[in-house]
Amino acid sequence: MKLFQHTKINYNDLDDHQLVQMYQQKGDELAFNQILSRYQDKVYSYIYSMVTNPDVAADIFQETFTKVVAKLDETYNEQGKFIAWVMRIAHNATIDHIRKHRRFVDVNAHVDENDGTDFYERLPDEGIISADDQMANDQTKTSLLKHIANLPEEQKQVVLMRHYYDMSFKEIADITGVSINTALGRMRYALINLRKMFDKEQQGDMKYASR
Amino acid sequence: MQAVEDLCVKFLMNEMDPSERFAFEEQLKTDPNLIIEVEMMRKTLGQIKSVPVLKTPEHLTKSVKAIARNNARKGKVIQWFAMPSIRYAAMVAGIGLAFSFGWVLNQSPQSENSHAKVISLQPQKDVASTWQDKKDVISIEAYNVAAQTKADSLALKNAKKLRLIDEPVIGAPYSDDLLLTRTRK
Repeated sequence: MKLFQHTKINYNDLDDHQLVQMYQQKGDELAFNQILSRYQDKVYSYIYSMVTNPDVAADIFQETFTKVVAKLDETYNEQGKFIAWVMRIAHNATIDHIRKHRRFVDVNAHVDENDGTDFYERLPDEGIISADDQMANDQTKTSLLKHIANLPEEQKQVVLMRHYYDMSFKEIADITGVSINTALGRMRYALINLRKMFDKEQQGDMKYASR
Repeated sequence: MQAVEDLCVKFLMNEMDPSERFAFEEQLKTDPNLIIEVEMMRKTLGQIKSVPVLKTPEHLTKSVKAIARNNARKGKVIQWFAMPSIRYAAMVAGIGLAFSFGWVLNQSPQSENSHAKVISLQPQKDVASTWQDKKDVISIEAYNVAAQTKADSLALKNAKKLRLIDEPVIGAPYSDDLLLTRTRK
């Protein structure tokens, strides 16, 4: 006779709330690891894109998840999206850092003195594709990230929150403490500014090609 | 113009109500400038979509998992004590311990001398005992009436060992025998 039947939990099938509950109530580390693996790259990418410094990004990332673990019982509201709550913590930690350390983020910081590359150009490759495609792809991404980094702070936040977390303007407005219309306006300005930057870049490329 | 651009953003990001969306789509059919504006924004948004998602460094993941593990362990200990059965067992054990401690204290001889109290906490093999306090006063005590005879015989036995010292030597080592160095109270 079988006295005990162990059912293996498939953590992939559980939603965020179920995983949070399992961690909160049973101390199930695997549940936490699952939820961490779902969002860690996006949280890290957001922080990294905002501060443009790997060491600072690492510190803020760690600070964010330390707070997530510590405040799970106190401030996490199960009615809301877990990632929106995590994002709020990450955003506040990032903004705190930026306010404390400098007014503007220097996107040209961390230039490798040996090869003259900046941190965007040293971003990890995402897959193996042909060398030409890879080069074109890398150049596009690098210039894109540089342009986003050059946006004013408020516009950059909206673009990155929308891109990495697919947040609605209401959620972005809640997190950044502004009205929906202001968040919408920031996105509009960000798109206009980015378009100008792309156009300028394209004109530069055309001039270079016609020489 | 700003209002039109805001509408374009809302349209492209699926933030419009169905009625608002319908009205905007109707306007698009008749306004070529609006179509150009929407398509330009769509292109920029498409470019933003290729912003890469970066891989979190391994050491950061490990560090966060360790933080979560430690927190989970703390939580488990608290939860263990929060279980009703464990709580009741701890309560019963606490009451039992308090009761036994109180019982031992009640059984100890009532004496003003603290040293006597300490001795009384030891297991009492004999019901009468001989002890010496910090002022070198020897006491022979019977803890109950039945032990009184035994206490008397102990007192007699010890008294026989007493001998008078005419010239006490200061600092002399103790001998096996008892030394009477001052007058009895």
